Amino acid sequence: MAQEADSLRAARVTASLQVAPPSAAIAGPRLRQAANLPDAIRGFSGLQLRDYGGAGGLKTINVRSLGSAHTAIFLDGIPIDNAQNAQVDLGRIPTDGLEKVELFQGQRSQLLQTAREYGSASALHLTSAQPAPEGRNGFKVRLRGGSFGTVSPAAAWESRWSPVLSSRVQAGFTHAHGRYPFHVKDFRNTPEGYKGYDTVMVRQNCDLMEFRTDAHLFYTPEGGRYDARVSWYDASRGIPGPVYKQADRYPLSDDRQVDRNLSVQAGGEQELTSGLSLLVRAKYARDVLQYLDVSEIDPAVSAQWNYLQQSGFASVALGWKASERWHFSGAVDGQYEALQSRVSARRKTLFTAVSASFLDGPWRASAAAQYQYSSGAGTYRFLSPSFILTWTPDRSWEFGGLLKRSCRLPTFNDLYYSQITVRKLEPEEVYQSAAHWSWNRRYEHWHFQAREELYFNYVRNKLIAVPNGSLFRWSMYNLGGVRIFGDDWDLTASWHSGPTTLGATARYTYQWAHDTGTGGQIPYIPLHSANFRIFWNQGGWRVDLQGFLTGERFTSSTNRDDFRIAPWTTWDASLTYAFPGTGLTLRVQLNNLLNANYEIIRQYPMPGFNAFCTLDYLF
Amino acid sequence: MKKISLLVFSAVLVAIASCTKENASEVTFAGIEVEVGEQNGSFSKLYILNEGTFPDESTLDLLDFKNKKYCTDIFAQANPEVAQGIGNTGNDMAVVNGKLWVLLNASNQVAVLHLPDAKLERVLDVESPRYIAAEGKYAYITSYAGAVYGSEEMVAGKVYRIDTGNYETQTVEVGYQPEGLAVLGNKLYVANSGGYNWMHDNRISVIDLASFKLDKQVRTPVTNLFQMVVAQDKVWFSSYGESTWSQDAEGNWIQSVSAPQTLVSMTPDGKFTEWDGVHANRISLCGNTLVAFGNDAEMEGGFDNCLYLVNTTGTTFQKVHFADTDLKIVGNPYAVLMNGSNNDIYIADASFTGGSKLHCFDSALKHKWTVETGVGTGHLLLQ
Repeated sequence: MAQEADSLRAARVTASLQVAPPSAAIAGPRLRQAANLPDAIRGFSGLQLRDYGGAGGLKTINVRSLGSAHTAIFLDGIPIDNAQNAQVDLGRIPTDGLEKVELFQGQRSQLLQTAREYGSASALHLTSAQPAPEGRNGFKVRLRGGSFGTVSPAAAWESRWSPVLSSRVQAGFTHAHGRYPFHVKDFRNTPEGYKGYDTVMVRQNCDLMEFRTDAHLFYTPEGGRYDARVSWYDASRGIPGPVYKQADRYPLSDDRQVDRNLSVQAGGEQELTSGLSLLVRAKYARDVLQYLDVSEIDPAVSAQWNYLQQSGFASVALGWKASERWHFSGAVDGQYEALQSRVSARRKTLFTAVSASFLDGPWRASAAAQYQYSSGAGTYRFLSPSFILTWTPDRSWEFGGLLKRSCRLPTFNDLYYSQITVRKLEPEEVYQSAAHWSWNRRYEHWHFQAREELYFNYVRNKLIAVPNGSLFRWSMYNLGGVRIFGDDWDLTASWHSGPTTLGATARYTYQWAHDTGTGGQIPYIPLHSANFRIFWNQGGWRVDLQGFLTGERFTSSTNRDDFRIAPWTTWDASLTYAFPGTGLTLRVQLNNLLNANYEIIRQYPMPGFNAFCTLDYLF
Repeated sequence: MKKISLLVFSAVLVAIASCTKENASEVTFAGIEVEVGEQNGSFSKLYILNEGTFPDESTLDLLDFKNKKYCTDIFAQANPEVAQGIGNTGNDMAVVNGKLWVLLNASNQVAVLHLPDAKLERVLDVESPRYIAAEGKYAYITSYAGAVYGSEEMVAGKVYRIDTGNYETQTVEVGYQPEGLAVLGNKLYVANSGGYNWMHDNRISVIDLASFKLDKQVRTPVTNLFQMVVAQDKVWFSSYGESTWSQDAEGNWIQSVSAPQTLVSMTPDGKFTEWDGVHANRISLCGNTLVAFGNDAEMEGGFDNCLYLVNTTGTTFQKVHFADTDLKIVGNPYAVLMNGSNNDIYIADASFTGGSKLHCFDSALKHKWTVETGVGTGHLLLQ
C-alpha cells in the first residue's frame, strides 16, 4: 500500500473489514494539495496516465494495460460513467474535497457495496472528506495561479449543525489561456551529415474556463451514515487538437467544447438487527456536451454537435454477518443511460451480485459473482465471477491473490457512431490473475515498506475500429486479444525523528502487453516505467522531489521504428510551508524542472517547465 | 467528431496511371533490399504515398525496381531540414511537367517536388486539396474550400487552376465537396460528392477550359460521386454509394447501406450508362482497361471484395472475387494500379494502425511479391 507514514490518517471505520487492501492509495494533505486527480495518482504503480496536455486536455488512466474503459470510477461508492465513449476525464475532478483515493485490483471487497462494483477489472474509489466529528464551522480559501495564465480561486465552507449532521459547500473557478511553447524536431543521418530541424511553436486554442460547485450533506446517526450531494460543473474550452503540418495562415484548430454537468446523488448505510446491514444509493446525472467544429480555413463555417447524456442509477445491498468468520452480501442495481444527439441511443442494465467472505485470523477470502443483463443498445448477459484471498501471517507480511473475469460493454459510440452496418458486437472480456506480497516493518526511527504484485491478464474480443472492405466505411469488430504480464514494485523507506521526517519511494512497473495478432507490444504501453519521490519534512516545511520515467513506446502494435515514441523523463519539485498559528499554507510547485520536451499521446506535446503557487487559508 | 469525419472522408483517389516512361536517373535514396523479382515491366520506379493516420504525417516512399530497393520517406531523406515532413493526409499525386505534385489535404498545401531527387521546389497554398489532373501547362486541383462535416452551412467546393510555369492560380466554384476530375475535349469534368452535407451531391460540374468558367452542372443518376477517369471519349466515374439511418427494434438509430458503390460512364452530350454489377468506388485506368475494386456484399452487410477489369471499348467486364484467387491475402484494399507494360496489378493493403503492405500480382492474378509500406498506403504512381 502506497500510503506514506507522513500522510497516514486514521481511516474511518468502514462497515466491515476489507478482504484485500487497495493496491495503491493516497490520502490526506498530499492528496488535497494536488492540482487535480490525475496529478495525485499518476505515481501509482501499474497505472499509465494518458494526458493530451495543457490546462483543459483530456486525462484518463489505463490500469495494467487493459484500457481506460476497464477501470470503474466511484465517488463515495457511486459510479461516474460515460455511456458514449467510456472515457471519464479525471482532470475535471478536484482533490480538495477528497479524503482518500484508492485503486483496487479486481474490486473493493467490503461487506456493503453496490452490485456495479463487482463488474470491472479495477476500481478507483474516491472518498469525500467529511467535516471532522470534533470540528467547528470552518472556511477554507484557496488561491492557485501560475503558468498558462492560470488563475484558480476556490473556497469551501464546512459546518457542523449537530453531532450527527454536517455539511460542506465548495466552489471553484479556473481560468487559463493555456498557451505554452514546445519543440517540433527531427534529426537524421544523411549523406551530407546529421541534419534536421528544431522549430519552436506555441500551443494555441487551449484556453480553459471552468466553474464547479458542490454541496454535500452528511448525516451520521447511531449505527448508520448517510450523505447527499449536488454537483454542478460548467466549462468552456478550446480544443487545440493534434500538432500537424498546417499552412502558416491557418490555425491547427479553432474547435471549442462546452460542458455542463449536473449530478445529484445520495446514499446511506444502516446497521439493522442481528448482524444485518443495509445500503441504498441513487444518482441522477445530466451531461451536456456541445462541440463546435470550426473550419480552419473559414472561421465563419462551423458544425455544432450537441450531446445530452442522462443517466439514473439506484442500488440496494444487504449484508449479513452470519458469524465472526462468515459474511454474506447481496446487491441489486438498476441503471438507465440515454444519449440524445442528432440520433439517440439508450440502455437499461440490471446488475445483481452476491458475495461470501471468510475471515479467520490471518486468512481472509472472498468469492463473489456479478451478473449483468443489459438491453436497449444490444442485449447482453454477462457473468463476472471473482475470487480474492489474503493471508497475513504476522504484522509485517501479507500475501494475496486475485482471480476474476469481467467485461466492458460496447459504448454508444462503438455501436452507433463509429460504424455503418451495425453488426452484433460482443463485450470486451478481461481475465485477470494476480498475486502480491507486501512487507512493512518499523525499526526505531525507520519505517520500511515493500510490495510486489505479479499479474497475468488476458483480454479477448477486443473492440477495435477497422476500415472494412468498403474502405471509407469504418466498422467496429471484436478482433484479437492482448496478453499482459506485469510486475509492479513499490518500495518506501522513511526516517522519522522529532520534527524531521525524511523519506524516499521508488516504484517500478514492467508491462509486457502483446497483441495476439501482430505479436507486438500494444500501443502506448511502455515495457518499463518508474517513478521516484524524495521528501523532507521539517517543522512546517516540506520539500518534495518527484521523477517520472517512461520507457519507449509505440503507437502501433507493429513495433516498427517509425511508430516509436521516445522515452521521457520529467522531474517535479515542490516546497510547502505552513505558517505556524495562522492557518496559512503556501506551496510552490515546479513541474518539468529540466524542461523536457515530450509527448504522452503522439502529436499532443506536453508543456515544458511550468510553475504554480498555491495559498491555502483556513479560518 | 472532426476525426471521424476525416476517417470517413479521407478516402482518396488512386493516382491515375500515366502509362508513359521516363528515363531513370541515378539518384539514390537509403532503403532496404526487397525481393521484387526481375519482371517488373519497363518502369523503373513506383512512388507510394502513405496518407498516415491523422495527425501522423504522410510519407512518400519509393520502390526502386532497378536496384530492388524500398526507400522509406524519401521526402525527409531529400529535405531533412523541412519541418514536419511533407505534410498531412496525402490525398493524391501526379507528375506534371516532370515534377511530382503531392496534395496534402489536412495541411492545405501542395508540395511540388523536383524529380528524381525529390527536393522540395515549391509549396502551394491550396485549401483542402483532394485530386489533381493536368492538361497543357495547367494543373487542376479539386478543393473542399473550408467545408465542415455536418455544418448547417453548405460551402461549395472549388477547382484551382495553377499555371505550372509561374504558379499563377485561378479558382472556380463547383459543386459540394468535389472529388475526382478529368479533362475531355475542351472541358474539365468534376465529380461532386457532397459528403459533408446531409443531402449528397449528384452532379458533375463541367468547366470550359478556354474561359475557365463553369459551363453547367449535370445531374447524374447516382449520388455521392467519387473518382473519375476519361476513356474512349467518355467520362467514367464511381459513387461511394449511400447510407441511411433507421430505427432498430429497440428504437436505436442505426446506419445502413441503402445504395451500393457503382460505376457510371457518361458521354459529353450527357448519356449515362450504369455498370450494373460493378460495385467499386476506387478506379484507375490503364490503356483500355479500367481497374477497380470494392465490396460486392456491402448491401447485405457482408464482405466480398472483388476486383473488376472493365473493357472501356465494349460492354463487358471481368469480376474476380478476392477470395477465389491469390488476392485473398489482401485485407483492406485501398489503392490499385495496373502496370501498362506487363499488366501487373499492384494493390495496397492499407493499415491505419500500423504498416501497410503493397502486393504485386501478375496478369493472371498470381501473387508475385509483397513489400511493407507506411501507414494508410493510398496512392501509387509508376515512373
